[in-house]
Order: sequence, then structure tokens, then C-alpha cells
Amino acid sequence: MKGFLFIICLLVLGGMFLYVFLSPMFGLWERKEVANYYLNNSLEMTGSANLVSSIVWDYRGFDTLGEETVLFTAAVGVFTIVIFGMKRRK
Amino acid sequence: MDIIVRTIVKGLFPFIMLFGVYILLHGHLTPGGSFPGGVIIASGVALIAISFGLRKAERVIKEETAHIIEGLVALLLVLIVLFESFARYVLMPTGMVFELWSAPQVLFLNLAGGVMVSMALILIIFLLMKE
Amino acid sequence: MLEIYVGMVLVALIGMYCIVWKKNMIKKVIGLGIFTNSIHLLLIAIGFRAGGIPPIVTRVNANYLALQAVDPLPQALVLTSIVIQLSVTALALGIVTLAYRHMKTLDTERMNRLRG
Repeated sequence: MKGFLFIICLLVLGGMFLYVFLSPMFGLWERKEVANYYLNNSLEMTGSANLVSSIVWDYRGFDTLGEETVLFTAAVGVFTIVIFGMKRRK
Repeated sequence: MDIIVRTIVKGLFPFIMLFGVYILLHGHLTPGGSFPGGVIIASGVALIAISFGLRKAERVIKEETAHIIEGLVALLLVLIVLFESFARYVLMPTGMVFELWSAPQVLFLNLAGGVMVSMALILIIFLLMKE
Repeated sequence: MLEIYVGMVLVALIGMYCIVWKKNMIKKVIGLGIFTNSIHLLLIAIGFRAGGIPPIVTRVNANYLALQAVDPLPQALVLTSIVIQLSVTALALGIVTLAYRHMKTLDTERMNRLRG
């Protein structure tokens, strides 16, 4: 009974997702100004042949800094959890 | 672990590290960069830790060394962001386009990011194996 | 093109089912990873172009890159998101380890009383 209701809710959610994603609004290449700017001008502005690396480290460098912060916090967090687990077993 | 696993890992370990460093260094020419390169280097050390035990893996890199290097690289990244105008003047694009020494900003930041990702993953694997 | 979106919705529904319905803690963490990967699939499928080439400048394709390359911007966002998924999985597994030492079981139906 509970499983049946849950499957119905999942199918309704999947239907809502499909109604949004199959509408012809995604991925129109006439409206992509930012992507065309990156494809045309990023080689002589940064000098790097890999456009994805130049976006990650040059045009959107602050996002990468935030992500390095998240990674550092995860390492410190796992260290704290292990030390806490060792200390409470003493 | 088993002797077959140990022999294969002992033979494959230098090639895995060389492949990871190659993907790291050529981040501005081929697909890759800091994140896949750092993960491959960390997975090489993780193979040693799984098949030989934690004490042999401590001979490759110590845990305190990983802590210190990760902290220093995080400090370096924050300093690059704080003194951003000075760093952008130093790291202008130089050299020929498709050579190895072509885009210093992407190259140096790839190196820093790759060291940071590999040290963080090695720390996570060592700490989760100790617990 | 449409198949990628339908596949993304199926993978998202499987991930949500794993998070809600399974009783083992590690299977829930795996379900979290499956759901996050479906979102990455959606992000990359937005920058789709029929018969596209990767956005890497080489010596032969310097002048028709703007007409035939796929979108490089969602790939940069997905790179960031993969590392964030890794951090979340590492911390979740740390918490699962701590919970296992305390409750001595990994079953969520049996760890429903406060001990200690």
C-alpha cells in the first residue's frame, strides 16, 4: 500500500520533469550568446587551447575557488569525524 | 591482499603516477586539467594502501606531509585571489599557442589545483581506512 | 536528443527511490550519488549540438570551431559539481562509519532509539 502510493508519486514527479524538459526551450543555439563569445574569443584572450580549462580557471575562477574550499572543508571534516570517533572510544 | 594483486600493483604503480602527472601538466592543451589528474594520482596511492596495507602506503607519503602541503596550497590560492591584479599582470599569456609553456595562468593554477585535489583525496582515504 | 532527457528522468527517479526506500545506510549514499549524476547528465545535454566536436582548439579546426563545437560552459559547471559530489559522499561515509560504531547496525529500522 505504501509502496504503491510512493510509485505513483514518483511517476507524477517524473511526468512534471518531462513536461518541462521536452518543451522546445532547451538548447537553442540562436540564443547562446555567452557560448558563442567563449568559442570565438577565448583563444587570443587567454592563450589556452583547452576552452573548458580556460573557462574554469580564467573566466569563472571564483567558482573554482569556492569548490576548492568545499574540498578542503570535506578533508578537515573527515579528519574531525575520525578524531571524534577515536576520542569517544577511550 | 593476494600475491597476484600485489605483484600487479607493484608493477603498475609508476605508470599510473606518470599518467596522472601527464594529464595534470597538459591541462591547457588536451582535455583534463587539475581534477582528473589529481584523482588519478590519488587513486594510485589508494591502490597501494588497499593492497599493501596502511604502513607501506605511509612510506609513499606521510599523513602529516599531506596535511601541511594541502594547507599551504590553500593559502597560496587565497593569496592569488587577494592580490588579483598583481597576479594577472604576472600571468599574461606568453609563448606559442600549442606549446607546453603557453598559458601560464591555466598551467600554474592547474598544478596548484591538482596538488590540492590529490592531497585531499589521499587524506580522506587514509583517514577512512584508519577508522 | 529527446532520449537523453527521458534517460535523465529515469535515472533521477531510480536515485530518489534508492534514497527513500532502501534500509541500508550505504545504499542510501549510493542513491544520492546516482541522483547527482542524473543532474550532471541534464546539464551536459543542454549544450548539445548534432554532429558536434569537443571544444578543444587544435591545428586543424581553428576556423570552424564556432560552427561545430558543443557548448563549453555546462562542462565547466559539471566539473565543479563532480568534485562537490565527491566531498558530500566522503562526509556522508564518515557519518555512516560513526553511526555504525555507535549503534552497531546499519539498518535504519533498528536504529530508532537514542543510546549512550
